Amino acid sequence: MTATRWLAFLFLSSMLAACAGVLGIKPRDPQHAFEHRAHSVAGVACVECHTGMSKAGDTGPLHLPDATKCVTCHAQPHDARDCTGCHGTAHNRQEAELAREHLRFTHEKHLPSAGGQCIGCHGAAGKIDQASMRPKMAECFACHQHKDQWQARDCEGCHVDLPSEHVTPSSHIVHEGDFVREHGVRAASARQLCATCHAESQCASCHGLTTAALPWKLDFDKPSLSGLHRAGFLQRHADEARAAPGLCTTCHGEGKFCVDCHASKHVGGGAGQRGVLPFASPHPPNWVLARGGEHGRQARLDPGSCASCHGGKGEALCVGCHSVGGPGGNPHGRGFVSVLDKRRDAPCRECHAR
Amino acid sequence: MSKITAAAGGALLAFGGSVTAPRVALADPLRLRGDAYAQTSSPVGLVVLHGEDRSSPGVDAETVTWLGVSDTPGAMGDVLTLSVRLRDLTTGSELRAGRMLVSMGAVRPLHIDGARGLVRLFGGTTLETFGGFPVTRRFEYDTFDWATGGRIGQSIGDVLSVGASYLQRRSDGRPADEEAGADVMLTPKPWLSAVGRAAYDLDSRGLTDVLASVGAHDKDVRGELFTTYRSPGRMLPSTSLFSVLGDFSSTNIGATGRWRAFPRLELVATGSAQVQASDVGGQGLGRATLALDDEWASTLGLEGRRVEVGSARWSGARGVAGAAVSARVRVSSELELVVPDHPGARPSVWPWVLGAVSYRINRAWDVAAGVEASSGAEQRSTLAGLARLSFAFDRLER
Repeated sequence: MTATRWLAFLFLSSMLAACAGVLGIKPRDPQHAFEHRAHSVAGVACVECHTGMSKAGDTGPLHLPDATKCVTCHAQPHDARDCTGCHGTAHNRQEAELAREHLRFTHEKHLPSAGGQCIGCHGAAGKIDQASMRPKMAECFACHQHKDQWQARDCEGCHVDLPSEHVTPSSHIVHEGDFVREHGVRAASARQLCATCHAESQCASCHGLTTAALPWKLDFDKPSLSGLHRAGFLQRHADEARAAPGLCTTCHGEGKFCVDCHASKHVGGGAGQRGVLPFASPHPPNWVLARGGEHGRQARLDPGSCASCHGGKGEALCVGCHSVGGPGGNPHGRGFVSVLDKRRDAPCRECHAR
Repeated sequence: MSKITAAAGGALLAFGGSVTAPRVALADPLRLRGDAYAQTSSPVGLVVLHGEDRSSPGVDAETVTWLGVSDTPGAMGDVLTLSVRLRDLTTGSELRAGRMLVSMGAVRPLHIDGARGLVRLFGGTTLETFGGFPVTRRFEYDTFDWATGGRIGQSIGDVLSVGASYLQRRSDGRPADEEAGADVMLTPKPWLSAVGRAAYDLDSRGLTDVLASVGAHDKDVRGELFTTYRSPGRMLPSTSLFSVLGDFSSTNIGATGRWRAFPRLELVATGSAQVQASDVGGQGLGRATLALDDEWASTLGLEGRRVEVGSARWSGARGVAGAAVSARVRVSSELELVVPDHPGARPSVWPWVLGAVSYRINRAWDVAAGVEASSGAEQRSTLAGLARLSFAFDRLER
């Protein structure tokens, strides 16, 4: 092999190794799940290693064995290193620590009702895959009392403080994908489920009448958070609104959300201010012409954005041209019908009662 | 011309807090959290308070108040929510009274001063009802006088939930709006879920808003198909002049995918086609996030986006970086560039950048500061400072 080929081989190997490191591809971890099944088959009771578990309360040690417990049987270990470095995973230990911190649970109370059988709840102990030794919540719900608590969303019977756990929701309420789009329908049909983690205040911080402080603003140091209004949304909000007609109105209401801000920035009537671009009106040229202009089409595309500034008393601006017999003509779309009384009911009377 | 905004007194305070009185038992925790947030441009903030008597866990109260400095006279604050909840712990039924947001089923959410009740009847059946007056700021104009509505729902375990909802808003003694809706949430398998809702305008006889989504996922991959339909004119109350114009509906069909390609690399893509009147357009987004450590504490992200719907046509790119310098210090930065196809009188490129650093003083205290700068459609250039101070006393030693 020539020197060039050797160099190329070394370069490619280095690149592959670097990529593997960057992407998180690593050699297999020497840690493996503890051989619970082998010990059980050999007749070793769980509490022989997990000493004191049958009296374990809501606080205190975790009763996880260390190497000194192993050597009481394995008098001549095959390796001088600590047994727990390979036998058993750090993940399982962390899981137990988190459970101790966040859950109200006593083994002393539960073991008798389980007939002293740990495997009933810790089923993973009998399997090769012990990714999680913590029983799933479904195991808890096997008891009637917990089923009732679940139905009533009474989490504090078991969870010390669920919101502070920062737990990832289980599969039935995955917050992935475009959860911003999806969350409304889920919250509306299962409000109590959401309430187990989220307070009403979280809804209000976006959906309230005054929404000047968006929640993500508080987390400006966490750029990886996703959200509808992230980054330079303020600069592009007009284009965002045009791309999704009616979407803004679903949260911000048809009231004065737009006009409040536009008025304070002197956009949308009145004089411009220093530093603001030299157009005081948000409308492009040719917005209103003698024979229509663009405003009619845009009003049909997103009438909510018109109403946010021209609603209420501002409707008089439209009525001035579009009232019956007015120069603006009939503003109704093709095939328009209404059950309202055009001389008495709002808004018909604005044009038809004159 | 450059503009550096610095509001007088620059102090904006947002104090978000959750204070819970300790229970009698010594092992129970005392919880307290607060965030103070400040920025030099348009100072705004939220005060969030939540109180709960743990010796009587069936009662709790909360309030969210917006505070800020505005050019509008008197606009220094608004109470967004202020409500008391009574809850039956046995059944989960509850009654909430005060100022609140009401969102029931498929009908539109409302912000009201009133009451809302939820009763769990039997076998997964729930009945919700509400009534109240619209929240208005400083006695300003509103589109309705009062509103009432409700929802009846049925769930079968965590697999299926269906509901039917109704809303009526009244003005001058007449209905200003009447809307009926249906919603469904289905999770037949842990890896498969579907949600849908549809709202129907009973006054002008047509669909207001429809959403349907089906998602499937496994450990590393998630895919979702979705469609939305919106009639923007029907989102308005029928008392609004703009509701009689005959609107162009907007229909969206798309898909989203997420793939954890490698342990430290995640790819996300979403795209949709949209029909607005006779216009057909679409938008797409792609994002790659590379973690610099196994805990994903430090990440680099790159995102590209293209929007081409009606008169909204622009391309954007965004880069984000966040790094845990040490166990206590974290730095982050974001850069966004937007290039509109037809800038008109606006600049041809709209950059936005943010740099921030945060420092965890100890387990309880956390402080962050940042600088945000932008230039674009709204203002030629802006520069603002941001600051946040957080306090968290999560629990006593158990």
